[in-house]
Amino acid sequence: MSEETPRRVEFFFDVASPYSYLASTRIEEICTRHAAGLVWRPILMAGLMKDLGITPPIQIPAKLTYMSRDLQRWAEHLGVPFNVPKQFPLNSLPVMRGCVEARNHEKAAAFAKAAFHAYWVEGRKIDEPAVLHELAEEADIHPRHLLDHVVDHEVKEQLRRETREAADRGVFGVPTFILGGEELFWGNDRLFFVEKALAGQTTKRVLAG
Amino acid sequence: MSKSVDFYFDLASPYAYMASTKIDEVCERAGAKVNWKPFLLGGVFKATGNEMPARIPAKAAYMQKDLRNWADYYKVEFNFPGHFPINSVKPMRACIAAGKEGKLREFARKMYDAYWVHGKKIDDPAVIEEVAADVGLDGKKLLEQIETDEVKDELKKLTGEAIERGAFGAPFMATDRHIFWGNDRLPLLEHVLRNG
Repeated sequence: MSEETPRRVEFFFDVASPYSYLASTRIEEICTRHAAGLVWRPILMAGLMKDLGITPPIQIPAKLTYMSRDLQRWAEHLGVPFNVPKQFPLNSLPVMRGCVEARNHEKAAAFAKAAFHAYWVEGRKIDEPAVLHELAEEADIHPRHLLDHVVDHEVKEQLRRETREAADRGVFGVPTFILGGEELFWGNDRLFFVEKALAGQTTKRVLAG
Repeated sequence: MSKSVDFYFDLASPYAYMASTKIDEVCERAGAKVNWKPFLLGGVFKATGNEMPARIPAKAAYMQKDLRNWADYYKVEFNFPGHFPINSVKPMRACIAAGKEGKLREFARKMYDAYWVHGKKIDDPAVIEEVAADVGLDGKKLLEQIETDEVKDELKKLTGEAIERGAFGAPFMATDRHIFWGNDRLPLLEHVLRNG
């Protein structure tokens, strides 16, 4: 991709993923601190896992039990609010289509953050049209327009295509971060490597310049 | 009561190798005692319905790079072995047998090095014998011990114990109140050890 710069972070996420939520609370600050651009890339985790033959972690009971404790510890560690929603897991298809449509209006970050917060903090039923309507308002997108477009063939196809493209680039789970168009990091717990890599690039630039 | 951590490891797991290079240091810093406990990751996967991450090609490719990042970060040697995965049943039984001679940690460390640094086939009895000799054990005797029911049952028991405590992967660390999965959770382990 010709427009790639080494100081660009692509953030692949699905609102249904709690570790994506945790990452979403930190990614902007990290990119700002390291003067890196940020691209929000909505993808459909369920579709990705199915295509790659990966068993979703929540299908392993021991993993699911562990995850809820692990997430609680992370939230405390990061000082962010977190509540496992009553309605879990979430069918994130409508809201991820909403993220794609929001991005078409350059509101990707605002809409995604509103959705993450609504689901992982407030436990709202974000797969319902009435709630999507509220999220659109929170992100300053015309709600009717968003609701019309989440059922739009083009938006559906766009989410499918971008999920496939992510898989082609080596993405196999969320959250994933791709730096400079090629260096891939998987997991909220790898943001610390992302930061190291961003800091390393800065050093190199200083040395080169 | 003094704090202690049970460190369940399998020699076949690269992330358990990473953790093995740091666990003693982390626990010592936090004033806790470490019990190294051999277990069989294959048995854990089977019991919990979990699977080896490297089975997914995209994950396997990423793991290579992720492990390189960890090795650089920890400043430890690491070379992904050509011979992967291994059947770790014999090597893990050998750890149990070495433990009976009071050399568990020393033997396990040498085995980790043999495999994850030098790429030796640690599921080959000849290599097990060699590593045993290296830590001052009678290699021939160790190979006989690993065929005994006592050793086999001990490994089964520890694997069952870990599953009972919530393990589904390796490395797995457990205190009296908390469980942790993964080398990347060592900082959280240290945090709970320090803060109760």
